Amino acid sequence: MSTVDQFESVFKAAAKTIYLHESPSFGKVLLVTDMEESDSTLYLNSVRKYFEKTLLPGETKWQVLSKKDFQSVKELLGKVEEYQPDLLLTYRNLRSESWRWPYSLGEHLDVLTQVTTTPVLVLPHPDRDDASELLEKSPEKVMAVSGHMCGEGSLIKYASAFTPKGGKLLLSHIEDKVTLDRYLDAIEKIPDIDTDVAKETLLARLLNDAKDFAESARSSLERAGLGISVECMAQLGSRLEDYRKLIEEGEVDLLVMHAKEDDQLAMHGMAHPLAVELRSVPILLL
Amino acid sequence: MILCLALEEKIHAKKSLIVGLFSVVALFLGAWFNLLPFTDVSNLVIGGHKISLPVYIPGVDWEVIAIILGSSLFVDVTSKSGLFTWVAVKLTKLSSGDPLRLLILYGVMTVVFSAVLNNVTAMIIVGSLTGVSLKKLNQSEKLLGFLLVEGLLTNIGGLLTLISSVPNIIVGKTAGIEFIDFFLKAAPYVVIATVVTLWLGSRLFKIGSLKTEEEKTSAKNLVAGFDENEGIESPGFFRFGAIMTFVFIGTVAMTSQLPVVNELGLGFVALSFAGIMLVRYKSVADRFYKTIDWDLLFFFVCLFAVINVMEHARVLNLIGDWLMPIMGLGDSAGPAALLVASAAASSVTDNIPLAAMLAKILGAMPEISSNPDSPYWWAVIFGSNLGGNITPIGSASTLVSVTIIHKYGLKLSFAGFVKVALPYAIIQLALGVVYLLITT
Repeated sequence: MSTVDQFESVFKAAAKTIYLHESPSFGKVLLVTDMEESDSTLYLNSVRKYFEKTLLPGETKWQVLSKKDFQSVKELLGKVEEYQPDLLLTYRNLRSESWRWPYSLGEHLDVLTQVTTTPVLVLPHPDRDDASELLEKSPEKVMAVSGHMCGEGSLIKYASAFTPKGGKLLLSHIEDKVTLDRYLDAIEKIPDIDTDVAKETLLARLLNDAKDFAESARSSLERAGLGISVECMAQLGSRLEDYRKLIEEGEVDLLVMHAKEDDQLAMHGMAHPLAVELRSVPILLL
Repeated sequence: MILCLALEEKIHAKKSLIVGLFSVVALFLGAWFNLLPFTDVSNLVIGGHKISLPVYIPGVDWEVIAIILGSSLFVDVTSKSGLFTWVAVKLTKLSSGDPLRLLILYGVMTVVFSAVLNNVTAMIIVGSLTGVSLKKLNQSEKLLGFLLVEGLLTNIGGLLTLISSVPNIIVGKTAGIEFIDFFLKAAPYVVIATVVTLWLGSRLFKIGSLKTEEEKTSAKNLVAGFDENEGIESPGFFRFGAIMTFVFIGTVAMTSQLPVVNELGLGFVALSFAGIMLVRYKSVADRFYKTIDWDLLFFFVCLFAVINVMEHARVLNLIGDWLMPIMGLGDSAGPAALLVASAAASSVTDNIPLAAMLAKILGAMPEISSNPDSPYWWAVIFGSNLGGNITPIGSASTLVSVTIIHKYGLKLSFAGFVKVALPYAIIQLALGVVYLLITT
């Protein structure tokens, strides 16, 4: 070990990003529905009950937008701007009939999740046969679905806020095998890079960065005394397939993921298919 | 040859090749003019055995080669234990992210690493950590100041012990200065020069403490993310590396007092410790052989061959005669003038041939060679080390610091370096002259 680059690599690996916990505030929550006012009130009650352990009655002020309050996406955005909520609550395919088909979230949600900076919690559509059943039991098991995990502090901050005392928070990261294989394939064709060293170390490095950050989050949440159990998981796999399997087999009650991507206008590459396909799981989109 | 070495970067040639070609020419001319002792080296009798050696072999100081080879291998293998990076990261955390405290701790670390390891390795370790930690602390605008001060401190730290730099090894060995005596003589100057350099660096580059509580908390949280254990592959080897480093320094310091070992010398000590450390990597030891600085080692072998020919050709006597006016200045002004002249010469060319040549010349003067405490030896030691702080090509470690500066996209030309470094170099040289006059 005798070059600047080698020592720099060691120090860069040592300079870990750590998670510092701070609880988000949900002083104002705005529930957006496309129901008549009376139905909206009933729906509000069931939603409040569903989140009674995390959005505490004394700390959260609830407001409702019903069918008559907005006619278009533009009007909805205007209302959100006017209310300035800390959290938006709504359901899939708002003001759309297409909730029966698992191909989109509907135009209102597509725009809402990208335009506002407020987190949007998306519930299953209320017209589903199992809708009332899905909102009966408060979420106990929350999963944070990360892109890199390392440095995604806001993801953990919100995921921990929605994990009730005694509940379980899963910090998950799946490194995409297809992408990794493509890079390793390119490395195999570069004479200056040792292929064996790259194969041995690249995946380990990627997973270690995620594990280290998740571990620092676990310690920080423990120190914060939230009374939740935190489990960290980082593995190689097929992102969509493996996440689907993890969510279904782990009976996850609530997913938390980033919806925005800096370099594109559409929803985050991983968030979109999960949000569209897992129609019975509530998802908090940041 | 000295001119070509000064222009090494311009002519894009490694120093081993430059000196190698000059050694070929020198040996050829030496043989042509019957200057070389062919008869003596072909009829050597050692321990009752007649040994025949090529004429260019006895001129090489193999002890110096063994010290450099052994200690660089030892440092390279020990660095794999994560020991040096552990110390570096621990000190970073100790600073709590405060820039001034970081400058002081990194400065002290540079001096100590330069003394214990070598100044190039010290600059590589501290320089690469500085780049990473200042970026993490969002203080990248201070990088130039940090790297420059660290580069200058490597040459101060290189003065601390007999094995800290190659000029020390060459001059110290020729003068017969013991490790402990060297350390006791050089340490007070190193402490004073380090403090002054850090003070001046903090003033000139405006590196101060954090002001608000918010800034302090944020910096503390950022450095808390550093994990000192990241570079440690095996805790057992880490502990072994730490123990062996202390034992190595102790053994080097005590070599002249240890029976048997004192006969075998420092080169044997360095090579033995390198061998012991390599046992951990016995199946891949060849990987470490590849990282040895063969350019430096071949440079030394060829350089000694050239100087040997110059000695036989009485060129060194001629240069010695040129030095006589300096010697004639007296016991105070003479060493002071030699120190400044050595520094000036070292600033534009490699300080190793200069030190080797001056050591040979001084060694041939009976009144100086018989006195290890002669101020002339120390004038050459101080001058050849401190001269490296005047220009970026004055020493290998300042060159490394400039390389790191350029790596981070910061602009610093040759003239720009001289302009910034000159106040430090003048103060350090002035301190050196005063110190030499007071202590000898």
